Amino acid sequence: MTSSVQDHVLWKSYREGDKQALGMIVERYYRTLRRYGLKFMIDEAAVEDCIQDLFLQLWQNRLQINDTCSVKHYLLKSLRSHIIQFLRIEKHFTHQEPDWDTALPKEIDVETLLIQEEVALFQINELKRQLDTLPAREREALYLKYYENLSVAEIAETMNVNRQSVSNFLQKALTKLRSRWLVAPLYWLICLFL
Amino acid sequence: MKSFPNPHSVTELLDDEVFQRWMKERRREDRWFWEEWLQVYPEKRDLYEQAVAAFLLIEGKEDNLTDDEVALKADQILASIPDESLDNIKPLLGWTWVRWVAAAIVIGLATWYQFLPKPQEVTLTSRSEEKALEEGKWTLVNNTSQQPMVVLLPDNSSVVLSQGSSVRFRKVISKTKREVFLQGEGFFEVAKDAQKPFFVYTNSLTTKVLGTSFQVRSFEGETVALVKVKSGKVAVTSVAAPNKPTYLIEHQELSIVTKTNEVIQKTSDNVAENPAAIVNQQFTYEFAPVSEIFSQLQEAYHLPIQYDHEKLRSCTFTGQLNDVPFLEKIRLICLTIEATYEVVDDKVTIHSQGCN
Repeated sequence: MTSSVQDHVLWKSYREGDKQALGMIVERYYRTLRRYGLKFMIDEAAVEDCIQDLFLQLWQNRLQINDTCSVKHYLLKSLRSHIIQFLRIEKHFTHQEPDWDTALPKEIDVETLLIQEEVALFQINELKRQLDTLPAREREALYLKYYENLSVAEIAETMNVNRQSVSNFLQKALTKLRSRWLVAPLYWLICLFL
Repeated sequence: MKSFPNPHSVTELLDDEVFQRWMKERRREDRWFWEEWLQVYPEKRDLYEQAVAAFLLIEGKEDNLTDDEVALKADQILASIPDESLDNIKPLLGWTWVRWVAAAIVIGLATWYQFLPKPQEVTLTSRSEEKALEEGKWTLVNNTSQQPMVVLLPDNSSVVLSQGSSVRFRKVISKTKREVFLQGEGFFEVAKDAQKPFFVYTNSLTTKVLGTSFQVRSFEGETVALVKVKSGKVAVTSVAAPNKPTYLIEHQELSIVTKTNEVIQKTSDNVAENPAAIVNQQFTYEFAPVSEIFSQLQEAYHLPIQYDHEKLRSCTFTGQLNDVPFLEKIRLICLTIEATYEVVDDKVTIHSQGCN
């Protein structure tokens, strides 16, 4: 885990007033933050503004900011609150859950990923149908768990809910997806025979 | 023999860090690894394909920023960070205190016009800031005179800057936002631009708006920082609690006690206390003679407006100019009376053929 050691060092230097260290943190996590921010279905410029605000505040408040075990988690959590704030001001968004994008990758490189195209497309379409029925917060929990590899505790803190809720979100989401995983190969077999 | 993950379920595979790295980075050596894995566990091909499908779905739409683009964004973010903030933050706790007094903006002494201050580019203490100014990216205006002065910002917003206060802003507006750093007190009238939020940063609080008018006060050495909204809606965050914005609407104000970070929100009621302060003035007119409007504006903004009194004698204006910046007020009036205007040497000159 060399990257977490370096994160830790960068975080310390930045808090001591090293602007270049903050710059390196920006570079390291810009993609991660942008990808996460775009999931909330707001335009790119707004996401980039939120990211800029986030780092500007980090700099302004560096004397009050504590050490953190995971810089990535800290940044994702802060970005989310900036985005919620943005939604409140600009979209007059009040209490409902923020939206969560489920758009698919444009191209799936089956060759590289070692999967058979027909199977993959079928699987993805089946799962997509299931995923689309999930509430936004369950989709977000899935993303933070399986894409960003955050722990349940970290997801809870990021989404500002308790741990039990996160476990419930994941449980419900996976149950729905699992029903497809069981059914999918059967469908495929049936399709072959028809 | 390599140690291969041996998952029994799709979720187990999704949880596997080696699998996650493979899916996210798609390195060549990882591909070899999974190729081999599929040969070791041919019966797990279904499971693997399901995990891949699930991962792709969870990952969603791709986002293709090149390394250069990321580096550029990082540069932009660093460039937006003010260099002097460290010097300002440190002494925050040790300051002495003076209560906020509503009468701070003294407006309206007509005789003061001729002593109008010129915006002054001052010498600065911080070397890095000097450098930024030398490079010509920022404009710094410091009001060292004995009365408020109007500062016209590049985006056509305006600030009425109190005595002993300064503002700093970019000469060229950024593509995504408008930013002003304030020390002391200013009354802001922000040109509407939903695409570019307008930020006012001070040592103790940050105010964010899209287009509205409000007053911000945060003097070094004062215990209380204040934001007072005249029109529209703003979001205020204290530097101590950047993730907890407070939303203010018309006629609301918020003060933050800088030592304790205590936030006090209330409905403003200072109209009676200081009717002359620009934040309390109304710019609503019904068939008002334009010359009267100009003299009100002159007083409120401390900027002389020159015009031919004879020609404008019969010109009137009806409408409200409350939440628009200074130059926009001038522009709207000129539009109505079919006049033109120019700003030269800290005064506004109106050119008109008169009204019939």
